[in-house]
Amino acid sequence: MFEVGLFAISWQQVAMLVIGLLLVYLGIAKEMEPLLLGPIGFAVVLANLPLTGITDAPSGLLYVVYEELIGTGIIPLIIFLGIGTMTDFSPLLANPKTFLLGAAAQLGIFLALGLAIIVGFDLNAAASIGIIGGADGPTAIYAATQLVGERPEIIAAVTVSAYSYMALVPIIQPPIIKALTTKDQRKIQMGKMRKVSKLEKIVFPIGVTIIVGLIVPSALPLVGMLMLGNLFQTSGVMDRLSDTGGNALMDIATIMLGLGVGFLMTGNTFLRFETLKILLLGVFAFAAATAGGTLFGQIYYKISKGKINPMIGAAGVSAVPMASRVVQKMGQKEDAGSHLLMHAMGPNVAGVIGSATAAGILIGLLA
Amino acid sequence: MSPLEVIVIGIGVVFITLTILTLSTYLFGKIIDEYFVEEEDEKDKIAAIVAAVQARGGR
Repeated sequence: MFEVGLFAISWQQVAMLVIGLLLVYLGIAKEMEPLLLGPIGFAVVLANLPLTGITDAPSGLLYVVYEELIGTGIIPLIIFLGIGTMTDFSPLLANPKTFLLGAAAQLGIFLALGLAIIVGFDLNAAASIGIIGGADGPTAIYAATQLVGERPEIIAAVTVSAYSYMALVPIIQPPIIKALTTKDQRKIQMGKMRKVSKLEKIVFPIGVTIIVGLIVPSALPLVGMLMLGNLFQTSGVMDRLSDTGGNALMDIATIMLGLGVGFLMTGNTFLRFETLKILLLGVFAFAAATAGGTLFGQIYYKISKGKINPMIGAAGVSAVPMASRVVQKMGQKEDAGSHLLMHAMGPNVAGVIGSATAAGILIGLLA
Repeated sequence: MSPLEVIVIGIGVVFITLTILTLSTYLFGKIIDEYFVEEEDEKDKIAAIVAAVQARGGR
């Protein structure tokens, strides 16, 4: 029987249509993560128009995309492969001690986990929320699907939170960095980095895969795909694969991710008090991660007798390269001749490995 | 497993893993620098010379 959608629409669906259109607006007009917010926002509109069947099991388009590609974790992993093809680990290889700044910034994950427990979430939900502090969208989605796969309302809020805050790095991080460093510290210029050989760049992804796989097996899907993508790039003989992984495949995965997340954002699952709590906990996770990295940067500053600028610790959150750009900009604000970008990229890419490792640990312990 | 255990194990294992990665990166970097890079540089130099000669054209 034919029915007109206009008469079947609920107020929740109207509210979600407004949210979907707002996301499209932010993506297009404000250029906030347009490649993500564009498809996600449009998919929210698709998912909330009534009587379309697009979200219905077993064959609705958005249902199939979510169940087969996002719920299984495949799309976040493919995106990680794409990120690997675009990531240059040279700054980390040139200065391996910055690995630990990437570890320190993961404190945000665990502090947010603790706070989420205090405000009433169960352990698996709290772990999914904590991962927002890793500042890494694909990692957050992958962890959430593994930890709370049957609860789309949490996955939706975690995903939106993770991607929104990544876009807001330039707003969230500076006041925290400023509060935890002095003007003189922010002025510190760091020396030239050593040159990294091609062989080191090739051995690195293979070595990291084996080491992480042996210590935290549950982190291997994320870290392994990241490193495979990176090997495509560094080997110099797999340019076609590197190009596909970083461009066409990544774009396809991003479109699917947008459609899948849109599926999760229906009125019933998204318009809840819990969503608001998750969004607030996400800000806390992000802020705590920035603070953790910066405070560890202070330890490096002391040990190095003032040669290391503690701000680079803040880049240990894995939002690449936004967090590094924030550090560069703050350094140049204090001293126009300051060039901290590459020094911050070390902890920044370490943060990608760190957050994937943290997610793997939580999945291993709780899934 | 209690939340506190998850937090302590989580932070501990992240630091242990990344410390091992730090040390391995230093170690492999040193070994590669020590035993392989000269050879690689030499190859790069030869490749650069060959490319330069080829680019010079038919004399």
